[in-house]
Amino acid sequence: VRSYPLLLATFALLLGAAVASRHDALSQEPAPRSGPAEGGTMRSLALLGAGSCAAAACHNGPGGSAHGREYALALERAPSDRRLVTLDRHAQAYAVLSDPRAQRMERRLHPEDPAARAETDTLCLRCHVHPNVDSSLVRPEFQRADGVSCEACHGPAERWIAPHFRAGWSALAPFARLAQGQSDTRSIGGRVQVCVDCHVGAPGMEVNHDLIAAGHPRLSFEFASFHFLMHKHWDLAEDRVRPDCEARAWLLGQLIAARGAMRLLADRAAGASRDAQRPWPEFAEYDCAACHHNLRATESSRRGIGTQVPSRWYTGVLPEALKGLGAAYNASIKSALADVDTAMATNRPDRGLVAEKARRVVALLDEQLEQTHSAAVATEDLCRQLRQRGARVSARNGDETAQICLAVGALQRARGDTSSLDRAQIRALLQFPVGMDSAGLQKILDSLHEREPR
Amino acid sequence: MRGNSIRLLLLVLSAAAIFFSRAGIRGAAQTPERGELKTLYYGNAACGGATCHGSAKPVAEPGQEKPDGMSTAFSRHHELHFWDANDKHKIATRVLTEGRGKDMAQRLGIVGDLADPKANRAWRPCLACHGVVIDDERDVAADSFGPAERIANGVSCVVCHGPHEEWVNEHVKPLGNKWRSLTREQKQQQFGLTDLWNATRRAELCSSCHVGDAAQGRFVTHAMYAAGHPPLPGFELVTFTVAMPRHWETMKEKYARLPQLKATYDKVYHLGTGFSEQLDLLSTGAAVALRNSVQLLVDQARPAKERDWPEFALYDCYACHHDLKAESWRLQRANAGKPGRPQLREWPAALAPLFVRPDAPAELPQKLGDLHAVFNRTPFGDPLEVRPRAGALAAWCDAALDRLRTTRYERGDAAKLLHALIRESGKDLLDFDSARQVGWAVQVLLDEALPGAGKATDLKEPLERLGRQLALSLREESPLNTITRRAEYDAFEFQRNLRALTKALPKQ
Repeated sequence: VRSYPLLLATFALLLGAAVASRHDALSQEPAPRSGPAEGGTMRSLALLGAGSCAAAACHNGPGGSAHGREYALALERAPSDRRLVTLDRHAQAYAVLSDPRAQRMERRLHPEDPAARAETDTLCLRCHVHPNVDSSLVRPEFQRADGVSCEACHGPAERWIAPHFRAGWSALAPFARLAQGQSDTRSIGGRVQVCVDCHVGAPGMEVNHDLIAAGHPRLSFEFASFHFLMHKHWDLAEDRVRPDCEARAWLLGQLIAARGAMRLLADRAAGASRDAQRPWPEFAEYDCAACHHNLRATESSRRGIGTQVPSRWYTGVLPEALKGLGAAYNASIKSALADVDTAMATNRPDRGLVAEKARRVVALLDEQLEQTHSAAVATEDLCRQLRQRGARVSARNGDETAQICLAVGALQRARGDTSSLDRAQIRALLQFPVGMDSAGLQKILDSLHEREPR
Repeated sequence: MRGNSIRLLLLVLSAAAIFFSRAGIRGAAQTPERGELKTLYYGNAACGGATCHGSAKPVAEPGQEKPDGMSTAFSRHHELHFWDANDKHKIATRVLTEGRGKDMAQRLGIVGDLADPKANRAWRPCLACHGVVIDDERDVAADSFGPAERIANGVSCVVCHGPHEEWVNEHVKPLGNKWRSLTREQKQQQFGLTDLWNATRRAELCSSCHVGDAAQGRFVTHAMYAAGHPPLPGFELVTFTVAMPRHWETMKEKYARLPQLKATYDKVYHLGTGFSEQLDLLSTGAAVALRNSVQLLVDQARPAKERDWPEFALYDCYACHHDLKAESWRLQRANAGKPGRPQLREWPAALAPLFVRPDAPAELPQKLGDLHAVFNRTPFGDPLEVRPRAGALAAWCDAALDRLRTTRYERGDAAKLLHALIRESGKDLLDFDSARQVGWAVQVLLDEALPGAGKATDLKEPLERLGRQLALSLREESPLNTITRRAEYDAFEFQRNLRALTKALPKQ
């Protein structure tokens, strides 16, 4: 609040600036920084509710293109689907909290409180409605029933609802819009950051092992795939102004998701040393299959003699993503990641050490992302490297294989290969446990390989 | 004033009584007092003479006490043959040298000559249960227990009966010597023959391997499991004894075969004819299994072992190693605990209805609950919190064992215990190994309450169904089969099977 006058001045200054083209705005990929969960500004702004976006003249109008129809598209249902599920599941995020499944989870998590309900549990609501759901600044018009609605991704609209349709707003630099509370969802990096807080997790917004054990699905976020699968309420052609859009989506998705995961790990480790209520070791940080295998384990599925194996979902293909930056990247990221693994791979990891090592990775990735914005992605090289790795990986290691397949799929889409992974395959790869057996995984690996041009 | 001093005197006396009785328990937990006795390890060949224990068939027929001048009062002389042909204890050492055992050793980095005491230090954690740990080659009767015999003999006679020269020499002396008239306690204390008629001692001996005993270096660690050791199943003394198969006679069988020796048996064994040996072993075995499993926890939570905490082997294997599925029965248990926090193995407490204090039934659940709370509070529990609570539970078990020692079970008690066990077991969903403990105990109790009832038409079917679901027949089950049964196990089905069985039981 202290910086309010300063921000206003910046805003006014920028309003007067020359209007840049949409193309330029996209090509200048800003360094993606904080998301709603940690932005101080974001927390201090009021939520107005999706209703305030839904005027016919604004985002709920008629027409052929996505422009002006965003609200309607976000709530669109497949006419053939008798369950009347929205194509974009975000709209149903709140409704699912009333499902018997969600209620059972809540009962298991809070056996001491028979009145506990998922629909009123802040931990659930922060991701199933809005990170600021428990703030006192939520206006009465804001409907939880709208689920993850406009302001969850675009930011609390208190300050930008009025200026954002006036001339000049589009020309503002992302940080200037962010200062008013509007998230940067134009750039790919900004989008990833918006998704990561819920889909990877952030302090106070996490799906930990307690929640998973109570019945919540494990989070397996891979931005490029989620982005591809999401029912778009925007014009995809505008994203594709930059030809390497899909490749950037994969690459930045990997880097920013990994940063989010490391930030969360640091918070879990540090938080557990302050607060005895927070579980440690946090099992969600480990490879599920390292423990959750049946006891007929064969030699080939054995990974180390009975120790916990850190999850590599968010870091497994990070080396390739870093190489894909084209420019030189900081090689110490790899060793910093290895340090995190080492600190975690004991039965009783040292909280302080883990927090320190994870923070170091966050800092290095921050630095890397600052320098990333304009480099072109070396899609062909990347694709080749990932395929080579795919040929070496054991299809039994579901997480690693799935990430490789999803990556190759995204890069092939970036090249315009429409016969790459189909939606059903992507969904199966994102499921946990992977929605196919090792033969199925191997088949996908092989097919991705075959389609490569000589 | 006078009243006070009497009270003080009583207090001192009872304190002394507690002290001495506990000293007694500790004594009972050990193998024979070694002070005066010479440790000597014999191989099975030393016991297997054709006229000693190596006859091909029992030499004793009912009513025949002294064929060819040998007494059959204590032995039918075919024990080793029995053991040789069927007992898995025989192959316990050999399996370390082949197949899975060999692979495991490689994974665990175990090298050295298994049979050589000078070189087998790395093997001792295995040999502690899978054979004989020999500290010093000089303690070996070389003619019967060379390196080859050590591997071939496995968990051999001396492991259970006591590696002492005194009793071995004494018990082979010709008829008419004093040996036959000694009590079992005298045979143990003066000659080193382990008193296996003492139910606590027998249960402790078997449980030291089948559950674990850190003091004797007998503990299957998670590293061993991860390297390929099959999961240790639950342990019910009577059932495992029958499956062994038993190479000795029960007291009931002895009295039936040689009724003319009743006076001798009464003097030596002082157990009497109405006494139910099976009930004694069943309840004592159950209490010892719980005590030993908790004692492992006490040991592991020692500050000196903090670096190794948590030792995963102490926890319920299936807390982690279960297939991931939504809404499984595991989540529907009333005592499921906090989701995602591994708890201890449940089976050791499954037979608690057989040894809880009837006048204080809430004591044990309270102590167990205190311990569970620690594992709910933080993943794997804080060893500083675990140790005192596990210690309190172990002490409770010791007190229960004291009580059992002075409880004299008659066969008539079986029906009552059976109904109590079934009633308690129906109160919540049990995991596979707990249900299996109950299944085994139900078989033992039924056999004692209604001999031959398993063949009765009403009971036959529900018993068979229970047997199939829980893999109750040990001789037909391999460890790998049991793993599959565990994975397929449905706790609701067990509840149904138990109800069907209750229906078929005669009303009390």
